[in-house]
Amino acid sequence: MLVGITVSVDGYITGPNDGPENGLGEGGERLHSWVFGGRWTYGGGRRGQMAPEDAAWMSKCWIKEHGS
Amino acid sequence: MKTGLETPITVGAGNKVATLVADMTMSLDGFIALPNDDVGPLFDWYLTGPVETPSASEEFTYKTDEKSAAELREAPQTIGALICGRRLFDHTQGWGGHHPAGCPVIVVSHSVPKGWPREGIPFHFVDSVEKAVALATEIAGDRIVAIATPTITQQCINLGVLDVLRVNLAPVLLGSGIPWFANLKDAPILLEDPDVSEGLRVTHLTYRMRRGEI
Repeated sequence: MLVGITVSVDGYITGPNDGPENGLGEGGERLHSWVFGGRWTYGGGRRGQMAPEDAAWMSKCWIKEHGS
Repeated sequence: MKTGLETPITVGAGNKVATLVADMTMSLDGFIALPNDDVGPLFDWYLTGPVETPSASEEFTYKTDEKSAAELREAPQTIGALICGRRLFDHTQGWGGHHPAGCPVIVVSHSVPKGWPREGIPFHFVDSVEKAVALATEIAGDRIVAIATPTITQQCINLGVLDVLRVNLAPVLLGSGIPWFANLKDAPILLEDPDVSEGLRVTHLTYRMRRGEI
């Protein structure tokens, strides 16, 4: 079993007051900027694509860890 | 910035402003020491590698991997001054007067400890972070000012004077302890993408603070 999550340098996985419709908390969208290829917000900011190197890393670690 | 120094000195005064680098070893869960101030397994990377590097302190020799050793060998040339807090100074008993980094030490303290300062020992005592930064910058010239205390790191971030955050990330979850990054104002604070150097029992992550964008 493995666990993987995006974490800030100071150890947080969300901003304050996370909840339904606001899963990453207030200001926490920044944690997933790498997932969406840039700044986005729950309020309707652009959600683009992961950068190619991040996508490559994601698929590689998934395959490696699951042996498939 | 206030420059009303208690003990003005002019060592290596250069025109270039020194780079302020906060440098500590941190657990993956964000602690730089256990609740009792001990570093526990955090410093294993200083002690378990094959390459020996003498420190500036006769009592201590680093044992690290080659990459970390190369950086430790350079430290005396690159670090011009070090700022720490009174708590760390007391905990280490003033490193016996010889900090392993081999540079002048500026201690932030509301009082000067008994028996200090000492003749010929480059330890200075100031009563505010602002004074410490001013004095350390003056001493360091164009070299680095290293910060090795969490509360002073926090204050330097909050003052907007920190340039670089160097996280020596130890592969351990301490569970509880003294956090490096408590009490930050104006968070979230963005950092640039880090320079990464993989070592034995440590990963060095060097982040430049991002200026401008919130």
